[in-house]
Amino acid sequence: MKPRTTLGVIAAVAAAVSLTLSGCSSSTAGGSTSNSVTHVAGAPSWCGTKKISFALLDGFGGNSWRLVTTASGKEEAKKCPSVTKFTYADGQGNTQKAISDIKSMVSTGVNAMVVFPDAGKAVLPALTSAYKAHVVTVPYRVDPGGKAGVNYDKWIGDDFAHDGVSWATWIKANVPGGGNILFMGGPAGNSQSVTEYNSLRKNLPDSYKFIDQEPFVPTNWDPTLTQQLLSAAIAKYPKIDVIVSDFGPTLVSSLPLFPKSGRAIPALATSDGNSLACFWKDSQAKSPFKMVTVATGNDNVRLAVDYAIAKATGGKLPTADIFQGSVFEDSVSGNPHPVDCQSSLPGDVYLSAQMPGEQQAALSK
Amino acid sequence: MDGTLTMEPAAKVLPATLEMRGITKTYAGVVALSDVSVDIRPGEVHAILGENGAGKSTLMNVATGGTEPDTGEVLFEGRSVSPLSPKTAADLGIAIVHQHPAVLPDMTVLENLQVALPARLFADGSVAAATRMLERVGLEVDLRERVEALTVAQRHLLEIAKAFAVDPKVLVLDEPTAPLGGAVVDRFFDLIRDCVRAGTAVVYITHRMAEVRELAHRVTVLRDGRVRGTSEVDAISDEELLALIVGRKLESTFPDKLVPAEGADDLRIADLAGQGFVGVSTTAARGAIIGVAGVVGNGQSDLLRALAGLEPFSGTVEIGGTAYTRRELLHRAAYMPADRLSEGLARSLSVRENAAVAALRRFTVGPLLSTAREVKQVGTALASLRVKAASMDAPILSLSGGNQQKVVIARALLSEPVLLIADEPTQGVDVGARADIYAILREASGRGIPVVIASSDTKELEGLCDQVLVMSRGHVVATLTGDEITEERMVHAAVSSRTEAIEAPEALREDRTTGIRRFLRGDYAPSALVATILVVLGAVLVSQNPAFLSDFNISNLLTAATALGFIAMGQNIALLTGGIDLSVGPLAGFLVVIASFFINDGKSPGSVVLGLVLMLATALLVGLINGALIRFARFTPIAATLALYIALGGFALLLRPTQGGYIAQSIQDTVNLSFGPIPLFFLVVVALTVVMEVLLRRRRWGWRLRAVGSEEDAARNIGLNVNRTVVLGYVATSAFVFLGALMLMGQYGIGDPSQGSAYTLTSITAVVLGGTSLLGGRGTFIGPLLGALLLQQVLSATVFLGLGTVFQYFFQGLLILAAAILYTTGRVRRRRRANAL
Repeated sequence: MKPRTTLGVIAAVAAAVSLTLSGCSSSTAGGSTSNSVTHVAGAPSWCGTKKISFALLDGFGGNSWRLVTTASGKEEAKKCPSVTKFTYADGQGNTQKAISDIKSMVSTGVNAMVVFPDAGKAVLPALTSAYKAHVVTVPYRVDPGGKAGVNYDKWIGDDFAHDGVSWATWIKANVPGGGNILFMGGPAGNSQSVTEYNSLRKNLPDSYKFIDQEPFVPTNWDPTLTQQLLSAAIAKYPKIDVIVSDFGPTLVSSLPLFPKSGRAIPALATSDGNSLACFWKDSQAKSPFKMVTVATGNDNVRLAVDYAIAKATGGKLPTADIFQGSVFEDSVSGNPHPVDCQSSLPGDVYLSAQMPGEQQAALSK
Repeated sequence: MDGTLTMEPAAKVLPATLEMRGITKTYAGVVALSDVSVDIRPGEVHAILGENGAGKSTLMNVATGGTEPDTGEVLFEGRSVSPLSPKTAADLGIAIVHQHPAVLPDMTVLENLQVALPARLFADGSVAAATRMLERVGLEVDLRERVEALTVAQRHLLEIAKAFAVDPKVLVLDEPTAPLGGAVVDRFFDLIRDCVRAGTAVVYITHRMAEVRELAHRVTVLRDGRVRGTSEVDAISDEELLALIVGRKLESTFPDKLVPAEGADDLRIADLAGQGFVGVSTTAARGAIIGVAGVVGNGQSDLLRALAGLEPFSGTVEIGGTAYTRRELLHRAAYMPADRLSEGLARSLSVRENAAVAALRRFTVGPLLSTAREVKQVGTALASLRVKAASMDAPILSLSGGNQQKVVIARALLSEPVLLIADEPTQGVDVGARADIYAILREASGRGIPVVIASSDTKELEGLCDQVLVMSRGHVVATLTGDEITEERMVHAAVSSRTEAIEAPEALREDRTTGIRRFLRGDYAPSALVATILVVLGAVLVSQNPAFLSDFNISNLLTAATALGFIAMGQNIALLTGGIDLSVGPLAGFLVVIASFFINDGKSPGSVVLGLVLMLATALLVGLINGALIRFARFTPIAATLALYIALGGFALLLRPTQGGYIAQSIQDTVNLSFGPIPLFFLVVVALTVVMEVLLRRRRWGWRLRAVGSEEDAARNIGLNVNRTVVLGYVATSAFVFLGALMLMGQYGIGDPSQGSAYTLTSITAVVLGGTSLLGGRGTFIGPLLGALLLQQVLSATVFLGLGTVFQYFFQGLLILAAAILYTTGRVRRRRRANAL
């Protein structure tokens, strides 16, 4: 008697569940129901008329670059009056919290979210559940895996391969004939540094040799660790011709190690930052070096915000689906900019960003 | 005397129940027992009599398997049973009442009986059986009471109850009456007589001749680890016994004693009473050294600590005509503790720093210390004490015991004390240094500093002191001066004492416990508290946004809490054993990395099964390694599991340098399957929690786990296999981590070397919030699950309430702090009070 009852219950539950599931899969996922494009007068074209609540989520919000990026995202969202509520959540570098943030945002009823998926593919299930709950979900910059239209609405990446091409072109022109390249990247295995490495390797002839760890020396983008790893590399390799780094300002405290050990600072292919520019300027008298920077990409978030809001409010979708950072400074050609040091501003300001330096400086106060 | 049994002639015909032949045991070259042979016959009480350090307790540890002798053998009913372990001794029917009861403070009275005694004794209902056991010894306590709340006397009776419950063939009683009062002792003696009539062989270790006369048939006297004689009690006089007990050879030379009537009374102690002693009064002339004698643990150390101002006391202490309060004594009296290494020295500091630390005030120039002055004065002091050290800056632990003690004395004297108190000043000190120390103490007293020393070595007191107080059970039973100070007189006073233990002062006793109070002190109070916070916080969140109760949110919250819940339950087991497992987080991450190679879309069911088996096998292996490192390689739990923490993180990176290997969608869907708001696996974790809770409370596995965590030595003494319990505990921890890893497969769904490690701290947080003690031995499984739910709710709350980053850290920190303060300090206070009784 008893087992039969239990089985009966399970069968009923299973039937109910399968009904629910099939109900879910038959409905079309993905945010806005109407396909007609609307537009709020006086606002950018991506701002539709439907009122929405919008969320910006960070996997890790604890450095100046993120502060600038978050503020840029908020500023961008403000351009559209249809966004009635803006919320922000910081995953604090804890994947569990990042996952909880995404799901809780869905529960609170946001209509659209832009997510910096620091943990990469590890937050894909959470993104997918948000997307399936009909929230416009736009991850950006870090590749979360999965597919647009299946796991999320759209991934707005940064064209890191393009950065690799820009660096490779500059290296070939300014350190001709080959040489030893030391690539100081982010955390071990992170997709940004890997993409950049692959692009560099593809665009540089074999006469350029990558030294130390390949694909890159994992510095976690941390200045202290960078210093430790670089001093080890200086001791190990008598000849370093180029240093590549995808977060330039972390090198500032480490580069003086070269003059201290009686060596010239190698040519530098990296990303911009006021502290780095000012270091370059100060070094010109005693230990000059060549440098190229690409825009560090704070404005990547703007494109993602545009896309998410357009999709949710019924505005016009941006045509670009990838953010392309361009060369920002070139100490040799001065094109498109010479190295730009604003000594009146703090070091952790990124002059390549849309947001003016003074406004960025005010953020960290 | 009707209480004394006459020897049954038949007993002499029967073989001895327990016989020890030619037992020799040395500790680091010091002979504890030398060629000792004793036999205990059925139906007799055989007393073992001897002074401090005569070897009585070592002999009994040999008899009960706690200590393995270097040579000699133990025979039981004529058969050799060497080597004997506590377990086999118990199986043979050898029961012991330890001088320090082998009871587990964190467990209830009932659980203490259940974990120590065989299951068959509880066949007709555990409560009924336990009640009978306690009634037999006259112990009136609630079975549900935690043993930590019992007085020392009650704990002793509990220990006695356990021994009698098994109807042993050999009953070993080690100073059993020390903490007991009169009526209880009478009842206890009656019990022993009943037992003996039934044929039990009783070994009765004591230092009190009165008890020997009242109870024993035969007596064996030990001195310096040797048998000095065995006799029928009726056939030997007190004087003859005393002559066997005393007679140690004088090993050191002593300085001259004070010439009588040299000065006026300088030290006056009147009606001093405190924890462990009452009614101490004496006066001593300037320059006198006062000795405190007695069998160890009869209030001597307590008296000394009170005189040093370390414990509260009533009565007066006058030095040179001035009365001193406890606070003043704390600052002005110099105290040299018996446990030099843990209480008397800062192990990591140098000789100079150790000597100077109490007298820093004397070396200051303005607000700063003058090193020059310090070096000069300390140097002079050390030189005058003939401290042999490589340099003043040598580490203190590089010195011999005697020289360490001289540094302690140097510090005491440098602080210019009004009173010098030394507890066992020559313990572990070689003969040459002893003479130096005696001379130093005499010199200090000659300068007018009254010196009070306690020593278990009566010869030492005889040689050094001008006055000796002999203590027994907290009372001064004799005050000896001048020529009266002989070893014989001191031993005689101690062994012929009939004083009874001091009743615990009424004020220190707790009220009779009510149900509510017991609940508040019990293991489930933290769970109730966490559940309340959960509900209150939940209500706040719902009032902010009703969507908090939506199926989507509840289901997500519970799913995430399930992952953490499994891992926290694993962590809980490690904490219950008194350890910790830091490797749970990386292990969970590593298991998902393993899964990412086998459990993918398009893989055969065989591959999926293989993956799951590999995950489980890896988990169990890691648990085994953790346990083995801790128990057999003697790593601390933190070191062992930290090693695994690092290693597993490395292996994960080795297998998956970057994210890769999506977990099969069907598996992800299965672990995330929800019935409305309730996830399937949440039901599993709840069911498992209930099962684990029952195992923990009602089954031997749980009792053993908590016993080991509560008091390892006591657990070993009651015959538990501590190593096996702990190692299997860590294996169980890892098994739960495996379940947590299954959930993580659905949470992040990919092999990722950087995931998992955060779970180490969160799991500890959840467990501590749930009320499991970081000190081991107490906790629940419900608590950690509730803790996991609360942590997940807090994560969700930051979004629902739109709280900033900082608040989240504050909130979690506050929760932990509150939990730590609420759960831990209350416990420490209770334990301290209980120990004082």
